[in-house]
Amino acid sequence: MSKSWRLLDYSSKDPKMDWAVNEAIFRSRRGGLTSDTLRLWQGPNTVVLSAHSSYEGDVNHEACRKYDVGIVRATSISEDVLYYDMGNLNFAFAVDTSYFKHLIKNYQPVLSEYEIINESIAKGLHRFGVNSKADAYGVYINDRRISEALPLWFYDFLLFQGTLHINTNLNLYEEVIRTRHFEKKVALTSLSRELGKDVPTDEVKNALLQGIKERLNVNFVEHSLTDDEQNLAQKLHRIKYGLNKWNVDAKEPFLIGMGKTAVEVFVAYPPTSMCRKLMDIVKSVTLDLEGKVEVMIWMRGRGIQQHGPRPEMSNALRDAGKRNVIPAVIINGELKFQGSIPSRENLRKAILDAL
Amino acid sequence: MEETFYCILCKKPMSPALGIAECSFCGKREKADYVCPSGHYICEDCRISSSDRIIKKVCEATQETDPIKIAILLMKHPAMQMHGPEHHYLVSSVLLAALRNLGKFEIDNSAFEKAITRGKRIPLGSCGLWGACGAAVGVGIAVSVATKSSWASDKERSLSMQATCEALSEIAKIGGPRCCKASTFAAIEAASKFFEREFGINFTSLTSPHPCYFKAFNDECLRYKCPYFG
Repeated sequence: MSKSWRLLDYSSKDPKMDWAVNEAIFRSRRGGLTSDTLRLWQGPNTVVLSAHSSYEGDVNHEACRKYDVGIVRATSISEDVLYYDMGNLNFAFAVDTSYFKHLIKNYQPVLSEYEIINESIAKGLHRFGVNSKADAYGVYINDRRISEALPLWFYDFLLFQGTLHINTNLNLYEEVIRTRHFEKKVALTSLSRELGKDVPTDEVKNALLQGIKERLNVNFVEHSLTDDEQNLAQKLHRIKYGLNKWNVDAKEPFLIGMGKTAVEVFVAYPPTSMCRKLMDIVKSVTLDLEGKVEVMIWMRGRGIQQHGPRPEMSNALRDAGKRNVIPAVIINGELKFQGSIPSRENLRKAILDAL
Repeated sequence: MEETFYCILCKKPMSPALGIAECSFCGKREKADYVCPSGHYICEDCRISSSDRIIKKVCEATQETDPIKIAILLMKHPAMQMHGPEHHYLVSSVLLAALRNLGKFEIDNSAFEKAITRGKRIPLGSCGLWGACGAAVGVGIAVSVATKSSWASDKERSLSMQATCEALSEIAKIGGPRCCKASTFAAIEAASKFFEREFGINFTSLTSPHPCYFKAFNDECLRYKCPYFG
């Protein structure tokens, strides 16, 4: 029996909001608030950096200004950079990949998940009479890549967000991304270039859905974003995707679940008198912030499982653990107080500022 | 409801305490908050200590002559990662502490500072990347500090390198991926044989690391491939 997926056909006119929406639907899926989801959208000319690519080094800013190309950074484990315009069909699969395992022969963690999704895209393209092939790294026609992705993982949950080049301006693509990065890429193509004519996006959308249905054995139910997803996307746009701190410097706030402000308290095990005092102060200043703030007490040496099977932990907390910064308070992924007890007023202010 | 804490040394549930207790790590006596049924207590300073600080504190304070026993105590401390570069200077420090307690060589507290400073220069992963596990180099550092060897020394220099070489050979036999606990045990055992042969020093009743206490916490445990597993 096929599995039911949510289909979101939702485009914002703001690329930064589009990538905030992707993260919102992923957080919603991994929190169990929604089912596996496929989002399809289109957006204006945009260069998309991944978390590990360079704002200065990988983008031709002069060309971006000249052609009015926006720049946004996606949350992703990839080092890749990609470009899309209104001639692309963008996608975001927000899925629990444990379902995929029975569909895959010779399963290889991570690569097989990418491969099966790319195969489903390639299958959709077969309807245009092209010889499309897929591997873990992309979808190809005649050895030229037509689809690229910037994936993100959270335990078994995968956000496979990327783009399919249909009527893309590939000349502009080559101009806005710096040569040193472009040299690493497989040669690109678009469906219109392969067919020698423009292709209506809606036709591709339908073909793509058919390919995904067949390869992944799913059916789609159309939905819109939930209220929680919309609220979270707006928050993410406000505190992350809309800011240079993320897009330029790749520094992101650490949020828990559906965007709660995270207050991580790092203490000794068992807590010392200073640690206990700190825990009491944190508790008292966050009493009226339930629902907005998630307080997590992390005790050194107790392992990541001390907060359940799929805990979220900021890099700042990991760093505090390595550097033995104890006790410490980390708010939204930033080390705010260390080695001593902050006053109630200062702690409260720091938390409210982060909301 | 009051949370239950478990002793990091024996895993038994700890109870609130009222009186004075002695720290199981550094020996300091202070008003205790939690003590386990075996009498283990960890002072507040040791609870927040970093790995280099706890190694120094314990090695300065211990009366123990068995370096494996000191190493196991230290490796149970939460500042010690399952695998990490702190094992490099742990090895040299526990060997120096045991040697001092046996009345061998002239070893004062500055020896631990030297061992830690030198050991910190060996990076994480040096085993696979340099072909020289830091635990083995830790044995060489212990010999160097104990014999006051330097690059200008004659026999002491050779002995330091020979000690590293013998420990490295034993660690290499275990295979990988790396286990810093197994490497620590192998390095100390090799050092024990080395000190007995070269200096006639017997580390009295070297504790057997079998079965490894840490196997339950090590996701990458080599299990039956490891000589300390069972």
